[in-house]
Parts: sequence; structure tokens; C-alpha cells
Amino acid sequence: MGPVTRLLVLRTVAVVVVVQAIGIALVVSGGRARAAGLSLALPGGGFLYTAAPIAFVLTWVAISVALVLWWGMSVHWGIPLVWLASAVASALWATGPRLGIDRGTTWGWAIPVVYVLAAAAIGSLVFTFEARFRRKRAKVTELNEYLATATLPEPARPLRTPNAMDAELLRWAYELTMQPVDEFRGFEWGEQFHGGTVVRYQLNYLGWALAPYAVNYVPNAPRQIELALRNLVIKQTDLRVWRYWRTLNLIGNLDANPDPLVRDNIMFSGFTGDQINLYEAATGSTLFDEPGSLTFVWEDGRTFAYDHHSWMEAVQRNFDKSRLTFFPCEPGWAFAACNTIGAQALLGHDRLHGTTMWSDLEPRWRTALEEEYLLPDGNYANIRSTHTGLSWDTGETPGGEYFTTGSHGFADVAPDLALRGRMLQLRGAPEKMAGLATMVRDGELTLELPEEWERNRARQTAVNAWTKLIAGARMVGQGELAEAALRAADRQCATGEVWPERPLRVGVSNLALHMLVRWSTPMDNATLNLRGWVPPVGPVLDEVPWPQVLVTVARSSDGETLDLVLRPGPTPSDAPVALGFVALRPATSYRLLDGTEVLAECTASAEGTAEVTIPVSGVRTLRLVPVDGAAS
Amino acid sequence: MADVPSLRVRRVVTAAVSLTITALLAVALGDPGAHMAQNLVIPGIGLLEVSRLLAVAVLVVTTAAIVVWVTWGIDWLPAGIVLGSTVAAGLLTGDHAADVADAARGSAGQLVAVAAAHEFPLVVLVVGGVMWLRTTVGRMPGVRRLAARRSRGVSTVPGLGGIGALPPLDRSRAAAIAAMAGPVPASVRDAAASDAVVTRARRIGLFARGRHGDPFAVDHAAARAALALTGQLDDAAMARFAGDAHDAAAGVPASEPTWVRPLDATIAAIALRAAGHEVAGRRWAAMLAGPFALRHGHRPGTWWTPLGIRLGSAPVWEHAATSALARAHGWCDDADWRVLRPRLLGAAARGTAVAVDERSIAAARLWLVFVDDEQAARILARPTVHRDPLAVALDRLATTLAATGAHSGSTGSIGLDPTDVHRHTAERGDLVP
Repeated sequence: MGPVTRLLVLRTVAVVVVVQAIGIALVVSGGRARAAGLSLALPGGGFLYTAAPIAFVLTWVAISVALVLWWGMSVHWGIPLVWLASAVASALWATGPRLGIDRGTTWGWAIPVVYVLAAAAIGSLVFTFEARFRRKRAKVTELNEYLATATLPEPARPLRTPNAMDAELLRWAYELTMQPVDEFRGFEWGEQFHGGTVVRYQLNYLGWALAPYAVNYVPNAPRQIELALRNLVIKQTDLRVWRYWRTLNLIGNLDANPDPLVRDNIMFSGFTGDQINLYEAATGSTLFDEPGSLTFVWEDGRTFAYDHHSWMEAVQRNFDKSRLTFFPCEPGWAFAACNTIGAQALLGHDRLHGTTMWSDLEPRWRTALEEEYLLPDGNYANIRSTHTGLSWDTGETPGGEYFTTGSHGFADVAPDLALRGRMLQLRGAPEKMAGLATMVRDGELTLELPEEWERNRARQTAVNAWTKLIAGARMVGQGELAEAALRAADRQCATGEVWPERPLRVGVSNLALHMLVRWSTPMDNATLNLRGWVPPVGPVLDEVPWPQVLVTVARSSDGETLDLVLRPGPTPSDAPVALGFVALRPATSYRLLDGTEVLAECTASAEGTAEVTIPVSGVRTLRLVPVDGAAS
Repeated sequence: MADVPSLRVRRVVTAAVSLTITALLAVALGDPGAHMAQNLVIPGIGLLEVSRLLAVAVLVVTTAAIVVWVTWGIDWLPAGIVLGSTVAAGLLTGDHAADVADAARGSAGQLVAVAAAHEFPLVVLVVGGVMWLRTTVGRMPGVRRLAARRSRGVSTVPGLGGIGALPPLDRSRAAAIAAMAGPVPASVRDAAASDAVVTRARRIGLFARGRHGDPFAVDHAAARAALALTGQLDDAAMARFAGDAHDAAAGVPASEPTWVRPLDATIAAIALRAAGHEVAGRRWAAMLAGPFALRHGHRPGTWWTPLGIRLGSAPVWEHAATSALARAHGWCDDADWRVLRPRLLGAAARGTAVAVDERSIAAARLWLVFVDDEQAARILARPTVHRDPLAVALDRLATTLAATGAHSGSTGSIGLDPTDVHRHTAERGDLVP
């Protein structure tokens, strides 16, 4: 337990002690006060004393609701309010009517019972925490021994050629993102506070998924994917996406300011900050560096103008002013995952713009992670209450803890912790994956994985299990298994549907996470975040008509030629379409080849531009080569 | 600038006479007179002693009649109800001595004959109060959202194609504004001359003024402007339109008998100006600077011609559309933009889910042709205006004006990606051409 957590927990304990002391004093004084005192000892306990067991049960129903609202809506005052209200109500009820019993009846036996129940509640809470701590501490020696001796296989990072499902997924993502920016067809809408229907996360995940596609598959044809990535960021400024914050801020901070960046809310500011970095690192666009380019408008017309820089400064300010260093997502709840993504965001901005936000924060951030969140077995607590210092399993991650977190698994912000975490989380995984790899025959994995409920309970899906399997296989270097698993997942989960439906049987968030894993090779987002923007080398396909044509591959392996895979877009054209190239060698002739067939020839202008016209009625695997270059 | 009719003397005299009559009723006719006076202030209250039910009924019927009056200009209806209930209050109230009752009856007959027009201002005051209250309450966030939800009423066919589903008045407005942007499709022309528009004009003429014959002989500024701008008003009708404007206190025909509404009046002034009647524009500009002037961030919702009384506040979208159209013709400056800006940006934030917000967004885009406001341009570029036909018409006009270089402010970045709002958003797929 770190110093801040210790302080918060001690403060919580002190409050409980004071409340109990007042309770005892009231119990001793007798009369109405005794009922109030028993309710302070145990919420609603006074109702047992005043022979009102139904009110006692109702108090605990209210406490349960308050607990859920505390977690779900940052209603920090809910439990204290119910607790206090039960004390006042039970005192007022002391001489009131009873159900089937004489007015004014009291049950003297309730006094010891209430104290026994209170002691049991506190005792079980302490025991649970302590036992968990001791169990973890007992593993330390064994884990250290493992860490000292274990070796991990090199992860598989193949340069993939996208298959038909990759193309379907890309087309779906483009159609989803290139609809008018104020329209959200195909997204899943529901409550916007916590759950699996939160649109901001769908936008984040899609941005995270498309960024590696941009750098791994179409670095030399950025136009389509840049627009898709840009629109995903712009959609984050739609009031329907961030309106939730005003409600949370009002309830949790008693602050009516709707500005989504000025206080807390790292699950928005950190995540989207990271998304903006990746957009810029993948495309080179500085659109969001322009002042006011990210402006939020409240429903009364108040504007909160930000850009990439001021956005990150807001994140930095929140880190700086937080006693815990980590600052809350929802008011009062600071998540390790979100604060790691917030750290990624600062690092990414530093790499892109030469600032020192991350390097300034890094020592404090690491201290917070290692002292306030680290558990004895190398796990990190998922959340911590910034009011009470408590942490528990919220059900969002197994056991409410993880070895690595953030969307990059610490790989960019803390590579040493990433390595340790990867070793711990992959304990036994190579053997399991090797077992699965034996099931691969001729590149095919004849396996179907069981479906499980999505977080929003909208449907069951096997995609999540496949995503984990593919990621795990790659992490332990089982590249063939990962490719076979991709094909098997496509076979099991494909729907054959197009936007606004989904090509795989899974919700938008999990589909985006699947795409993220699928496309994060050879370069993943952690590497991209560290690398920043690097312009493509070789010819660039600049002009390509959408929605007639979908570019699934545009890469130059040698800086001279350009490999292209073009497919019909959602509105294919029978007529030939014009493709505009830039970054060609000036005044040089080029041929566009389909295998050995010359489809078109052109000569680059003095500015290095040229245009060819070809039909794209099916999948076209093409290569643009200078005439004096090798066409092999 | 053209002169604005001064109706102050008329208002003062009318108010003085009304108050005198009310006081006389109360003082000279004893108890019945007092009841009559009370009834003039709040219709129905004078009958409270006779029957509470009757009193409430009179109040409700009067309220309904006022709504009818404000909507269609049928002014004799509330006047008749107030008059009748006031006479009834004098005749029916209480246990009065016969001489008092006789005196009341006798006097009431005389007084009513004189006072018929003078008690009306009291009702106007009540109307003004009610409209003020409605406007004030309507601006409260929760109420505003509820009201906005109610106002959706968009046709199943989005865009100008759905113009036929609009109420007749909005149909005329949409057609007129669409025509300002250039040639319009047949559906818009047909909408401007549709049976619903003609029937509305005929019914209002008949019920409000007992008129027969040409339904567009007098008033109906929006409908006649739409017909004029879509080239469906023949020379004779155009001449009547101009003549009506010439005779009108506001320099443009009224929307309905005695009611001048700012958007309809602006459209009419534009139509008349387009037909060569420059004076209509000058007179309307004077009205915009006078009775329709911006006060406390708002322009009036309507203007009652007999006494020149401004009532209520124009809804945001109507204020924005009116002022932007006026600004396009140089009839007002940029002061409206400054007060409208946050309200219009708020509409942009709320999106196009309700028609009034969509119209506000489109009107704001029209304003952007004339002001340099990059931040607003970015924000207003986000929503897609494509549902409400009136909003689409405004958006098309903004696009046209921007394309024709109507921008009269300093050169700015408006029109450049990504803040290029001056493209018809229904025809675009994203922020990039």
C-alpha cells in the first residue's frame, strides 16, 4: 500500500471509528438516540431495535442500490446518505406504530445482534483483503525465481497480405466512419456512462484499429484511411458522445461544468488523446494541431475549444494536480488502465511535437503505479477509490487486476514493466499454444470456440475468444497458429453482412478490438507511438475514388515500386476509374502491371505526379514500376 | 432610411380611453360596472359570482379565441367573447337593486357600442403577457427540449422533396427561400401554389374579414412572396401585392390580418424588391431598425398593426433566418449574429434531431456567408442538414450565396476545408469534397 493509498484508507478507517464512537455514545444514552446509534453501528440497525425489520431490509436494499450507483455513477454520497437517513429515520420511528406489534415496542436483543453483524461485516471485509494480500505475498519467491530463469519466445510479427475478410472489415470500417460526421449508423447506442454500449470507446477502438492498418498495409495510399481516422476523432466532439460527463461531474464532483477535459474523465481525455496521437503518427496530418480544431459545444452554445496540444496540456494538468498522480475516470475512481493510456497519450505527443510532458511526469507516474497499484504477485489493481483508497474486483477484468495494462501493455511507457508483465501473464502459455499448434493441418485450424456473452449482454460471440487466441499465439511466436486461427475465426463468425450491419458476429467495440489485434503486425500501436510520423518512401497512390474503389494494400518495399491491391468499394463502378499518383520520380515513365500484363503506362510530371485509368471490377493485385526499374 | 409609422399617439389615446371606460364602468355603474371592468381585465372573472363554471368556461374560450386570433388574425372572435361576457357580467351579476341594474343595462348598451375597440388593448396586454410568459418558459432548458421534441413534424421524404408535407405557412416560406437560391424544381413550385396554401388563405380571409374572391388580395405575405419568387404571380396580382405593401403600416403585407411576422415580412420585402419595388425593402429595413429592432438579444415574434405593439420573441431559428436574409440585403448589421451565435451553436451541438434546431443550423450557415467566424464555421460544418425542407432551403441559399461571393465581410477561411459549411450537406458524404 503506497503512502497516498495508506492515507486514504486510514482516513476511511478514522471516519468509521468516529461514526462507531458516536453510535456507541447514542446507544448508551438510550431512548430514541439508541435507535439512531444502532443505525450508525450498522446501517438500519436501529430499525431492528424499534421492531421494524422490514425497514431494516429496505435499508440494506437502499445500501445495495447506493453501492451500485457509487460504482456506476460516482454517487459517493449515496451510502453515507442512506446510512445517516437510516439513523434519523429509526430515531423518529422509535415511538411510532409497528406492524402487528404494540406501538413503541423495542427489541432489546437487537443491540447485541447489530454489533455482532457490524463486527462480522467489518471483520469479513478485513479478512478478505488481508487473505488476498497474504496469498499474493506467498507467491513472491516462486515468481521471482520464474522471472529470473524464464525466457520468452520472440513474438511473431508477420507482414500479412490482407485476405477477403480483412477487406470486408476495412470496407465496413470505412463506411462506418465516412458517413456524415453527425451520423452514427452502425454504432451501438445505449447508456453512455460505463457499459459496453459507450460510443466513445467504439470510436477509440476503431481509431486504434485503423492506425496500424494505415502503417502496415496502406502507408503509400493514405487518403482514404486518413479521412476515416479523422472522422473518428471529430465524432468524439459530438455532444451525444460526451454529454454523459456533465451528469457524472454534477453527481460525483458537484460541479456543473460540462467541459469534458478540464477535470477527471481520463477515460475520455486519455483515450482520445492517444487516438489523436496515433492518427497523427499514422497519417502525418496536423489538422488537430490547429487551435480550436477540437471544440466541444454544450447544448446552450458554450464552447470549450481545444486542439491536440491544449488537449494534452489538460491531461497533464490533471495528472499534476492529483494527489495520487493517477486521476479519476468517473469522479472518485482512478483506473490503472486509463491512466496508462493517459500516459501513452503524453508520450505520443512528446514524440510528435518534441514536448516533455511525459518525461516530466514519468517518475511520479511510475511511483504511483509501483507503490499505489502494484500487488505482491506483480499484478496491478484495476481501480482505486480516490476517496476511500479502497480497491476491489469490479468484474471488468479477471480478479480486478492485470499484469500489464493500457492499450499498449506498458510497451512504450514502461518497457521494463511490460517485459515483466508479459512474462508473468504468459506463464504456461507457450506450452498451451504449442499444443494448439499441433492441431493446425495444411494451415487450417479445425476448431470452433465457445461463444460467450459480450459485456453489454447484447449477444454471445466467439470473436473475443478468437481475438485472445490470435494475440496469444503471436505473443509466443506461433505465427502460423495465429494465421490459422484468423481463418478459423472468419469461418466461424462471418455473417456475410455489410455496413450498417457487421461482417463478424460481434458488437462494434469487440469487433474493433479484433481488428486491432488482426492488423497490429508487423508494427503495433506501441511501436507507432514511439516512432511517430514517418513519411512513406516510394510512389504514393494519392487520388482514388471512394466509394468506388477500396485500397487494401499500398506498400513500397524498395522505395521505387508500389505494390497495390485494389478492390471494388461499396459502390463499385463498371467504368474505368482514375488513380492519381504522387511522389514519383519526375519525368520518369511508369508501368502499372497486373502480373506481367501492362495495364497502363504514364509519365510522371515535373512535380512527380501522374494519373492512370483502369477498371476495378474485381480484386486487382498491381505493381507500379518505373520503366527503367525491375518489374519482377 | 424610410419613415416608420408612429403609432404612439394612437396607443396612448387608446389606452387612456380604455382605462377611462374601465374606470367609469367601475365607478359609475356600481357593482355591475365593477364586474364589467373586472371582466375586461380578465375575461370571465366578472361572471364569477354568477357561476364559477361559466367564468372558467369564458376564460378557456377566450384563451382559445386568442390563440385563434394570434394564429389566423380572427380578431373579432376574442373581441366578441370579451364584449359578450362583459355585457353578461353587467347584466347577470349579484343581488343588485333594480335601479342599479337598469342603469347598468342602459349604460352598458351605450358603453359597449363605444368601447368595442377600446377594451381590446387590455386583452392585448394579456396576450402580450401570455406570450412573454410562453417565451420565457420556453427558454428554460427542460421545457425547451420538450418543446423541441414536439416540433419535429418532418415529412417522411427528407429535403425539399418533402415540402408538400409541411404546414401551408412553412410550405410557402420554404418555397420562397428555395426560390431565392435559384430555379426550383416543380415540386417546390407546386407546393407554393398548393391547395392547402390557397385554402388556408381563403379560410382566413373569410373567417377573419368576411372576404370572398381572390384569397391573396390582401395579407398572406409569405404565400404571395412564394408565388412571386417562383414566378407564379401574374402582373395584376403582383401589382396588388405591391399596392398592399404600399398601404401597409409595416411597408409589407401582413402575414394574417393585423399580424406582421418578421420572417414572412422579410420574405415579402425580398420578393417585392426582386420585382422592382425597392421601397418595400427600404421600409422594411426601417421596421427592422424600429419596431422590430433587437432588444435584449431578441426580435419580436410578431407586430400588431392597429396599435403597433410588438409581442413575444421570435423563435431562435426564425430570428436567425430573418436577420440573415435581411443581412444579405443590407437591411441590418451583424449585431444579430453576436447575440444569436451561442444559441445557434447550441443548436448545432444538439444536432438535427428536431426541425427547429435544423432550421437554426441552416440559418446560422446563412449568417456565416456574412461574418468571419472560423470557430462557428467548424462547429456548424458538423451537422447534416437534410431533413426539414425549410432548413434545406435555407442551407441551399447559404450555399448559393457563398458560391456567388456574397460575402461582404473581410476575407476569411470560411469555405476552406474543413470548415466548408457552404455545401449542401445532403449531397456530401463527409467533410471532404
